[in-house]
Amino acid sequence: MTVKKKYSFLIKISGIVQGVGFRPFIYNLALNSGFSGNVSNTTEGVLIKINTSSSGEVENFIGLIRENKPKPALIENIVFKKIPHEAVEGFQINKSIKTDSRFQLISPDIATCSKCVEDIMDQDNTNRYHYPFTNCTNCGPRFTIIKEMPYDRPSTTMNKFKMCDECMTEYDDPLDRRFHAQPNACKKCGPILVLVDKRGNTVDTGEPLKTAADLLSDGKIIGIKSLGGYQIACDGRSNKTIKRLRGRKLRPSKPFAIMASDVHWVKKYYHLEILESSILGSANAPIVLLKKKYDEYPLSYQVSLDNKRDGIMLPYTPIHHILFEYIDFPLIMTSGNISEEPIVSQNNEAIEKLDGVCDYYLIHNRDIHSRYDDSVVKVFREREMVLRRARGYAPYPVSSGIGIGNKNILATGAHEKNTLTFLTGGYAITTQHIGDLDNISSIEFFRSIYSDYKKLFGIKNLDIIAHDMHPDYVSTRFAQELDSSGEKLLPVQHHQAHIASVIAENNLNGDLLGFAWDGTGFGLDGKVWGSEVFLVNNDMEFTRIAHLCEKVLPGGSVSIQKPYRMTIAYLRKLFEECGTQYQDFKDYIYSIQPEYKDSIDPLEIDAIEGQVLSGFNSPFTTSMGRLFDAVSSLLGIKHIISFEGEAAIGLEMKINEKLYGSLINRNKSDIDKDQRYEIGLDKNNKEYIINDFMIFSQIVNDIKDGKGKSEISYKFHNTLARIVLGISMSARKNNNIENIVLSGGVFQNDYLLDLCFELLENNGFKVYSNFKVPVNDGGISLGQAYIASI
Amino acid sequence: MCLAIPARVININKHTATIESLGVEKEVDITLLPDLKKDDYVIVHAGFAIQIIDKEEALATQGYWKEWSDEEGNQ
Repeated sequence: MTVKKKYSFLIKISGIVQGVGFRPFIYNLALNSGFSGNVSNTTEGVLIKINTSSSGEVENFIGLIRENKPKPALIENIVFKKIPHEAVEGFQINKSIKTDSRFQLISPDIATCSKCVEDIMDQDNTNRYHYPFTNCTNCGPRFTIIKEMPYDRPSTTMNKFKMCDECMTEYDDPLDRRFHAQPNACKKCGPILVLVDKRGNTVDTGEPLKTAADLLSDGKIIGIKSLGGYQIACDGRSNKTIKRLRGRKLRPSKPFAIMASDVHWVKKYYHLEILESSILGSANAPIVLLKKKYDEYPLSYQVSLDNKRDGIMLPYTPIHHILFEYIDFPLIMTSGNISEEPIVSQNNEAIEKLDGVCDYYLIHNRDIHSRYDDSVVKVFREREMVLRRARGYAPYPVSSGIGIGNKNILATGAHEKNTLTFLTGGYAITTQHIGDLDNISSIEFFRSIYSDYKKLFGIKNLDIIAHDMHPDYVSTRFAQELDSSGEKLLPVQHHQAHIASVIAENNLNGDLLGFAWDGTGFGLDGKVWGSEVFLVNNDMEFTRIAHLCEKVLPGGSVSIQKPYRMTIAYLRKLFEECGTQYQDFKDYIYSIQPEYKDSIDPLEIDAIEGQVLSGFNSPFTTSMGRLFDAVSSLLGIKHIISFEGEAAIGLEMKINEKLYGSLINRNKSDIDKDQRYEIGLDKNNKEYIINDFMIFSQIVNDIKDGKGKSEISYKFHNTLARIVLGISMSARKNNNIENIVLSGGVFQNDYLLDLCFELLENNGFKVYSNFKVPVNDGGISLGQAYIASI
Repeated sequence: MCLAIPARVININKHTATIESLGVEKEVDITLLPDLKKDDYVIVHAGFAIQIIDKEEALATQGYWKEWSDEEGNQ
């Protein structure tokens, strides 16, 4: 018998390959393939030394790795090379070498895996039947419980639980699914779950989860200590319960997320593409925005009102899985917080802050060290688009290969939906969603995330600190606090940051045209920008070339809360030029929007008129968001908002594609004139001005002609898409532009973004938007960091 | 800055006229323009014809848009 000559190879695997059971996986794969060698964890990832008869066998082995890798693992790169032959017996898992790592790519928190669900549901499994803290190397908490690196039980919040003998055996056995599972626990030695009433008194029950389920059936509202913080749960079918929740949470109309028992339920009531289904069942377990089917709506109208989508997620912790064993209806599963404050994560915090919201709480003693909201994603043109980046996605880097050498860059983001971004070692690490920095809790959270990430990723000093140009943002003040000399500070214009965030995500080169459309951002001229179009060259120099008309934002931010004020501002301008046939301004307004007659104090109308004419106490704005708001109130959709973007979303939801036929996916390369409004452009010295008053004027005409809200909204959206196309075509003609970037909160609008992509792609452009970081202000910090790196 | 849309007068009735704009015909109130004639160009707002404009001016509202949007023969 000929003995085949053996060669030694070194395989290096990088990516999220730690904390995901990778080494036992390789161990088993190598044994089954009959190879000798060893596997170890290093700061560079997983290193495998393997003895085979040929490099072809190594390639096959690598193929098997890719195909069968543990679900939560993310393989970035696999390389291998021949090394001097080392004969060894069998295959071994080596101990981790604890070096002073800059940072290790540990997996974000992972949804409970199917094997652990089996354990939890197995009545014969004495240690883990219905045990709410069951996990393994392939699932469970990670960053939410990590206090510092390296990822080891003593440096997590599980350090106060000493493993029992059985758990310890599992932990030490390389063949066990719980080998080195840092949060490993069972009934005998792990955390305990209790049900308490709103005062914090324990409810006397042997089965807290069963009792909680009964209470939920009974219409009670329950706070549940989940993976990243407290969630608030109640019956998703009950109008009465949800109205009560809305009242208690000071949330009159913003949609609530839903947790459903399984994907079959979801499929019945929602359109579900393959990618949507796979994201729902993924290790990240985010909230996925799915289109309602409408034939049969299984939830209360109060869940999401007129929204065409619902945010749906599947059970992702043992607590959820066990609850759904006892109930057969969907649950509202919303963040445990008041208004836009950070999600509550500590037990006493919950009892105190959620007092008045929750009737009962399911609490436990596995501390949450870092708060993480549930992430929110949607599938857009067959790609995952992250709208809120948190649990399961952060703190994994969003991009790599950004060349800054040894420098460390911090970007402090904007104001709303704030995130921070650190650029270090070539990686762009964007933090999880922090929230609006307008209350103490959020600001404290902001500060703690800054410290935590610095510690987690071993960042000692900062070379550049980028921030928004707005002088009063908390994030700006924070940057100034970090560097009082000001030498490291780099102010970055808001809308340029939006566009840069897309460039960073896609590593784009060359000249491009960027549209940054949102509600508010401090402009280079100190005005409130929001409809900006920039030419960007290869050196990242921005030239502003177009925007909407500059107009008064009467009384400043009060007009953001009250869209009717913006409507009146627009109408005042129209009245000037075209209102000669009316007695006075009020007559003009009431004839177009009669609802204003009874609902707005005439004195307020006078005040707005005064502000529009004199500019007193009012900045100038080019905001696209305000145009949406003004049209929304003009049509009677929303006059006063209770959450950001509500009026604009209401306007989008009025489009009835069944009535007017969808323009999308029909290979259209233009929009017929009768399906949109006439577009007018003017020019000042430097830029083109898109005449939004002219569009507004045509909408007024349509209202007078008795056209419906649906048709008007449709034409309005089509007009904006046509503007994007027209300006892009001109940029191609004059500047040879082929790449178009769309960013800013306005592009959260499904219909608008889809139509823009459709038209641009059908005209031969390459279109880019934000997919990995939010297209809203959650993506600003990435753009700021990228600009700082140039 | 022109905020209203130009339209061509097709037919004059007593207090109203039929106008055509962008291929769509409709009725507007012409009380403000007693001297209006057929084939005049007017600007229209909120159901009223409010001003007579020069034909050249009417056709020029496209202005920079034409230069921008590459719409050859698309009007």
